[in-house]
Formats: sequence, C-alpha cells, structure tokens
Amino acid sequence: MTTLARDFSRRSFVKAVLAGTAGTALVPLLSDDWARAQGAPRRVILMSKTNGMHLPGLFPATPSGGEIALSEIASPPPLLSSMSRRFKDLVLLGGIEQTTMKELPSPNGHHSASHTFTGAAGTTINSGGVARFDGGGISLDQWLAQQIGKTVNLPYPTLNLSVNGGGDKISWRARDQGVTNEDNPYTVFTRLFGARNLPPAQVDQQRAERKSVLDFVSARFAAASKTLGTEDRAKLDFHGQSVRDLEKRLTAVFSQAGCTTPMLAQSNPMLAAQDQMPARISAQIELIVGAMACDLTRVATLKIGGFGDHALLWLGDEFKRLCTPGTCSAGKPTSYHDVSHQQFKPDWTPLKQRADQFFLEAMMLYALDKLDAVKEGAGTMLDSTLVVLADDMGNGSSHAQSDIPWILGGRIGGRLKTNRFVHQGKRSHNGVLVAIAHMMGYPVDTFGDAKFGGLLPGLLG
Amino acid sequence: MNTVLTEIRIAVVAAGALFVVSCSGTIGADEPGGEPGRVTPAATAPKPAVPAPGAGSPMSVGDKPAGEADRPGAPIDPAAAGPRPVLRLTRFELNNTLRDLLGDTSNPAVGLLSDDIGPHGFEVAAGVSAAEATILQEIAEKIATDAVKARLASLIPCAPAAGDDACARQFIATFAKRAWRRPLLTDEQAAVEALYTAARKSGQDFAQGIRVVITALLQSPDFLYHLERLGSRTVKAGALVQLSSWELASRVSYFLAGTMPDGELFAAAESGALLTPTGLTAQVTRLFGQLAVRASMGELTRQWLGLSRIDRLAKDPAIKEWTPAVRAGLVQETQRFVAHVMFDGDGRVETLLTAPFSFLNDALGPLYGVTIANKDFQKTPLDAGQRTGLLGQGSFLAAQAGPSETSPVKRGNFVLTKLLCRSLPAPPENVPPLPPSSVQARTIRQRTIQHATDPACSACHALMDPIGLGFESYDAVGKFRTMEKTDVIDPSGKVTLDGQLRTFTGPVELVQALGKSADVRACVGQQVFRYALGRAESNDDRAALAQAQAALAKGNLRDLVSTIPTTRSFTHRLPSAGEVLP
Repeated sequence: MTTLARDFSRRSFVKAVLAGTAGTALVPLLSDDWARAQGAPRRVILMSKTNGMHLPGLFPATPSGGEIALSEIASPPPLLSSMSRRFKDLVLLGGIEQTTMKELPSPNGHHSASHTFTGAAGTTINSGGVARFDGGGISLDQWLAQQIGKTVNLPYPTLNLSVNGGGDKISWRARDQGVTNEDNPYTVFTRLFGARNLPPAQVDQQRAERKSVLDFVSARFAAASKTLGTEDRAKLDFHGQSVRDLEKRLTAVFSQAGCTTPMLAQSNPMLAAQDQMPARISAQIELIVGAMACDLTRVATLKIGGFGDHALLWLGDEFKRLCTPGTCSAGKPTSYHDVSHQQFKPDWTPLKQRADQFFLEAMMLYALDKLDAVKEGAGTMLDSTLVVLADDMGNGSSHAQSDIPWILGGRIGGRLKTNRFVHQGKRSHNGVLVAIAHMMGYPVDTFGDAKFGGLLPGLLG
Repeated sequence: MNTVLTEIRIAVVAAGALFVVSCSGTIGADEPGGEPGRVTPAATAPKPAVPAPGAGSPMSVGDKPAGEADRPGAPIDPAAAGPRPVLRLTRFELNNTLRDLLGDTSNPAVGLLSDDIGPHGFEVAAGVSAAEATILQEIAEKIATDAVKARLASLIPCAPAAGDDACARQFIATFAKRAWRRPLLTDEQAAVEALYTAARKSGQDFAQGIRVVITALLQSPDFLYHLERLGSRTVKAGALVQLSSWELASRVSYFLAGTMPDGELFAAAESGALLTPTGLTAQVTRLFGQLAVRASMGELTRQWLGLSRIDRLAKDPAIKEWTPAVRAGLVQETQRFVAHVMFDGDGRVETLLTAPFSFLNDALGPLYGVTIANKDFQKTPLDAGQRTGLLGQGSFLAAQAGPSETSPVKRGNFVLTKLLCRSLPAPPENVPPLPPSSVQARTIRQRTIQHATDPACSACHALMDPIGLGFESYDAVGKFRTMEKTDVIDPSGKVTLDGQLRTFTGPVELVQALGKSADVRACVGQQVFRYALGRAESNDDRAALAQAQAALAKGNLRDLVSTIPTTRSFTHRLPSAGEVLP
C-alpha cells in the first residue's frame, strides 16, 4: 500500500506517463483529514472492451449448482489463471448474453457496445450510408448518477473516458443522446485538477464568473427550447442539461481538503495513440481513481475505443508484422480485431490469449490494484467500489452475443459475493445491470428493456 | 461470421419518421426500379425502393401537423414547404462565424468538436453532451479573452480608456445583435446588461465586463444554433411559417457564404427589403460576387464527395505513390476543379464529368502521368482518352478503392448514391472480402462477379458492380492502367440512365454518358438542395426541388445555387410536430 502523498502534480504525472509508470505519484490523493462520518460512498467503474475473449482460455467447465469458488478450480484456464492473485476480489460470470442484439436488424454483432450498459436495443440510424446506433435508452452510469444526484451534488455526475476513442458510445443520457468520452488524459487532468494551484481568490472569481455566465446560458436554453417542436426541444434540452452539469461542477470542485496542490503545466501534449495505449489506459484509470478519491465523481466509464483495430505493438514481434491479405487488414500491423477473428487457428490462439490477458491486466487488475492502494477509513477504496469489465461479444471470431465475459471486482461494502465463477445458464446481461444497481443501493426490478428480465440471482452479498 | 442475409434492411430516420428501404432479391439485374420509398413498419419486408432520380425524395415526412402533400402520389403543391430541424453550427460555420464576428482566425472548432453525417448525406453538428459543452465553454472563454486582449478597440463604440456603462450598453446593443443574428428582445438585452453589471460589481474592469458578455453570448443557443423560431410569422392559416427577414438573412448567408450575414445583408434584414423578391435576388447576386461563396461551395464539395476521408486513407505501404502530399493534394485538386467549373467555367454538370483537364501540382503529377514543376496547382490538360472530369480524379478513384486493390463495388456505389441519388441500404456489417485470386477467378472483375453470385447479395451488386467495373482502368490509387498483372483490363459495363440501359466499353464512355444524363443533373440539383436546407427533401419540397433542378437544366450550377434561396422551401417552413407557434 502506498502512503499518502500530497504531491499530485501535473508535471510528475506527465513524466510518469511518459515513462510508462504513471500512478505512483498520481493516485494517493486521499488525505487523512478526509474521513467521512457516514462511511465511504459507493462507487462504480464500468469498463467496456470489444472483440470478446478466447473463451476456452477463460471459462472453466460449467459448475454444477451454478457456481464455484475461483480459488478452488483445479486447473483454471490460462486467462482466468492470470488473474489468480485477485481471485478473492473477483466474480467471473458465465452464460451471459446480450439479448438486446436479437432485436436489431442486421448488425451481426457489431455496435453491441452501444447498449452494453443500456440493456435496450434501440434502432439503427442510417447516417449517410453509415449505420450508427442510438443506444436504446439511458445507460446505467447516467441513471445511477441521476439517483446519486438526488442527494448529493457532485461536480462530475459521471466521468466518461476512453482510450483510442471513436466507435460506439457506451453512455447515454437518453435514446440517441450519447455522451462523448474524453480521450485525452491531459485534458481530463486539467479539467479535474488543473485549477487547484491557482490562488484561491482567482479560483473564487473564476467560479463566480462561470456561475453567472452559465446561469445566463441555462436560461437561454430554457427560453429557446420552450416553443420548439418535440425533436428539436429534446436536442436543445440535452444541451441545456449539459450546461447545467457544468454549473454543478462549479459548486463542489474544491471542497475536498485532500485534493490540493497540483501544478498547472502549460503544454498539453497528446501521446501517440497506438504504442502508448498501455500508458493511456493506466492514466485514465488513475484519473478515475483520483477523481473518486476526491469525491469529484462516484460513477465512471472507460471505453477502449474504436472497433479493436488498434495495433498491439508492445505485446511482441508477432504483433508488429504486417498483415497479409485474406487474414487481416492488409498493410497494417496485426490488430486485436485481427487476432480475434483468427483465434481458432492454432498459431493465432496464443496471440489472442496474450492480447486478452493484456486487457485483463491493464484494465481489471490495474483498477483493483489502484483502488486497493488508496487508504480509506480502516481499509481501502476497493472496499467501497465496484469495478466491472464487460465485453460486447463472447466469441470474437463470430461476434457471438452469447457467453460474453463479464467480470466484476471489488468489495463495494460486502455487497458483491466474490471469489466465484457464477454460471446460471443463459441469462440476459440486463440481469447484471440490475444487480449492479442493487449493489449501488438502488434495488430496481429491471433495467433497460424489462422483457429481458430482472436481477441475476446469486451475485449480491 | 457468414450469416446469409436473404434481405438487407436499414432503417432511415428522416424528419421524425422511420423508413426502410431495401434491395430485395427480386430487383432485375439492370432495372433500377423507380418506385419511391414508402413509410413501412421496420418489421415488415418492404418492396424494393430505389427511387426514381429527380422525382423527389425517397422519404416522406410523418408525424407532422399540417403537411400539404404527405403522400408521394398527392398532387404537387407549389405553395408547400418542408420542415426545418434546428441545427447547431457545424465546425466550418462556427469557425467562419467567429472569424467574422470577432476577427478570430484561429479556427478553434477544428480538432475539438466533431460533426456527424446526417440522413441527407451532409454534415450536421453532433449532440452536445457534457464533453462538448465543456469544449464550447472553453472555446468561448478563450475567444472572448483573446478578442478583448487584442481587438477591444475595434469591438467597442468608444475608446477603451473611456469605457463606461453607457459604452457597454451600446456595445451590447450592437454586438449581441450580430452574435445572435437578430435584434434582442427588451428582456434579453436587460439580461445581457445584467451580466456586465454583475461583473463590474465583482470588481472586474470595463474590458473584463465586455469579456464576460462575449463569453456568455457565444455559449447561448441563439449563437450556436440556427434558431428560426423568433419573430417569424405564420401564413396559410398557420400551416406554414414564413421566415422573418433576420432568419432568411442567416439562411442565405450560411448557404452562400458559410458564415453569419455581413453588414449589407443585416441592413436588408433590418429594412425588410430581404422579404421582397427583388431584395432577396439582389442580395443573392451580391453574395455571389464575393469570395466567400467559393469557400462555401468548396465545403459543399468536400461533404458531398466525402473528401475528408482521404486525409486518413491508408494504402498498402508497397504503394509508394501514396504520400501525405498526395492525400492533401487530391482534396485540393477536386475542390479547385469544382470551383473552376462552377465559377470560372461554363458551370455545366457535363463539364464536371467530362472536362479534359484538372488542377495538379508536383506531388500529384506522377499519379496522372504528367510532370508539374512545383507545388503550385495549375490547370493541366489530361489525356482525354484516359480520363476526364471528377470521376477521373484520385479523390474518387483512390478513396473508393481498397488499400491495395480496386473496388468496383465502392466505385459503383459512389456513382449510384452521389451522382444518381439512388439510395441503397447500408451494406451488411460483415461482408466477406473479395475471394482471393484463383485459377477460376483471377482478376478483380472475375472476383467481383464471383463475390456477387450469392442471391442475397446480387440484387444490390447488380446495381453497383456493372458501373464500378467501368473504372477498372485505374488502380487502387487512381493511376491509369491497361493490365492487371498479366491480364488485359476489361473496363466495359452497363448503367441505366434516364430510363434506358446503356452499355459502355470503358470509363471515358461511361462518364460521357453520365455527363449527358438528365438523371445525373437532377441528382446534382438534389444534392445541392439538401446541403442548402440542411436536411433531406420531403414531399412538400417537390415544387421547390423541381424549380431548382429546372434552373440547373436550363442553365448551370450558378443558376442552381442562386435559385435555391428563392424557393418556397428556403423562405418558408412547415412547423415541426409539437411546435408552439406565435
């Protein structure tokens, strides 16, 4: 466990990211004087990746009785085994299906990430010959933020980040009101913590001014949308709501005594996307953990962007070789997408497993480690936080919408029964969304489209 | 992975209604159909719906209060007009507007904001979630700070040192009117002044007070959106809204100049002269003489022909010609070429397709087999036996091709959708690539034909491939060729134009046929009409669209562009469903 440090400086952050070791300087934001009388709040990090996993390498044989302790599986498959040091904090779900996909006309498993967290199918929109999805409805992160917002005004109701952005949105305020992810860790850093090394008087002045401006702008949106037709009104109200979100940010940004003294750097370099992906994933996770430690947000999403066409150069020389026509995108380095489609050819299986393992470690294990490194009360942040890693397909070769890997981690106040592989036959992923809502303290019956069913039993502690 | 689709469907959301068009397996190999699309429940299988070009929209508008001609078969009402969705300024419009409003030439929207492609095939600004709202806030704060720091004296009606509350009030009265492109109501003016007053009370000086005002005005919907809801009046017993002079000034300006109205246009709005036919024509003619119209038509060209994607188009590294200079050059070439034909040439659609010249520089020369001395673009004659016009340019030939091989499917689809306005469904997501070269099917032509033998695929491919095969004379980056490895290229094909099946022996014959086609001309008119209105046409726009297309048929592209602002669809709009009318 790291000791608490107050040197949360942007300069050291940048240096650390560039060195590929971000985190040591960044994470421990928590101050001893920040002890909550009522205990730590519940928090959730929803992460989404695509291209599925090598399922034989991940899932153990289906247990009788629906579940088995991870630590008691005799010879866990290699991907599962790679997470063994965190078995005590993990739940692997088997048999999960994204039933919503059955409602859509012809996507063949593409774009399924857009309703991973909505549980509603929605419709396909033809945007000048390019299909895009409207998400189907509000996503779990936005819904949870609305519930939390009823009792506490957090500066960031949700924090929606991505790495290698683009592709489908995963967070939706409502149908066809997608929330854009912030892809640049430096921008996120500046927005979250940048102003905190300005002199307090200047900060107060800027805040008062922004408040006054945003009040005015909010009123303009209210006035402008009043007479509009239904669709136009929805469009302007979405924008108006976003403006009110900015207003909310102003009221609480600097309220945590533990979150002081970052330095504001002048430059804003953008890391090259492909070969810096590991550092960028780490940086975004650290920013999420940092923001949660300061109680700037309690709900965050992280999306690996695009459709998996990113190269994986750091995983070895095999990933640097250029593709040949017929197997993958000619002329480009072997991508995650490529290895996922080719994974059942014997010489490709190890590549797929290595790539899957990278995402398990870089996303799931890394987030757990970082949360566990921040002391909170008598324990760590991991005690009050839930981390979810959801794919948008199972077998990535066929884009199958069955056996989708969902991995839950963290202790969230004992509400998640961990160290288990749970397989209760084929179940819609909506049941997992309902379970997450329960763990966060909102025991709903269904989430998304009700016909896909309610709570997945056996998860709650 | 290889799901066999017996039918390919795509839902199209246009103006609030859901439409489905399809190619079913029953479309004749060479028969483009000709039946307008119909409102069809998504779950039922529709008939083939490849609309007759020029006959109006494949879509109609549903769920609206008082449409004059909802049904495609209804008689055309010359007094009708379609609805107008509220759109946010695109990046192009926002950058230009900030330049003309505040003298800021930093193009702040580039790289920060993104635009979607709308159902009409042109760009629309994306919805604003918290991320975009933050960016818009940051842009407004930066632009206002820079303007006050660098150009305060040019913005305010008094000397900065003499800045007082009276000066601020005067500034607000004139500046806010330009920023919001309309006069402010009394309470609006008061609310803006209150911002200034609050800033001063908090200890800010005059200049900072002005800065706060600018920051707020730039984040308001009145600035960021094309709002046509204030001050217009209803006509035809409430069935139609005539735009106010201010709204019309904005529409005319954003179409012709890609930016906010200039002083003269505002004056014509203020006096009401713009609402008279002669006043409107005078302004259109005046704007046509200005440089901005070239930039705006360059933007139309970029969006229509999808030029943006060339910038990030990857090709097989073995193709050494595909350099960044070539990628950038191809976009410039096409924009310069279109502007030349439109403004300096005869303005005819046929010339767009058959001109025996292009605009090339040293980077592009090798692609076209000519030598150009330097990086300046110059009008360069081409071997007209090899290539002519837009479809002989790399911006089409390279963009509509694979990384290492040509794609008759993409090229055919481009001609069908962009030049013939024949809607095809979006392709299924996991189309397998062309089969690899084999003994039975060695050339791209043979492999394309083999690829399309599946009856589920052949209906759409029968429309695209016979056109696209005509461009086999150009390789994956657009270089002319007569051989594909060891095989002689066969660039023959067929296309249905103006109701007749035409065969051709190669690309030059194909583009000549396209150039003479009334279908192509009608489609070009339709595309420009869509760009001008920011939406797909509805049945209520048929009279206006026909008027625009007739102007092009009788005259040229300049006539088309200057006619559109005078049509009913441009000067009026149908109220949207749920709208509260004044």
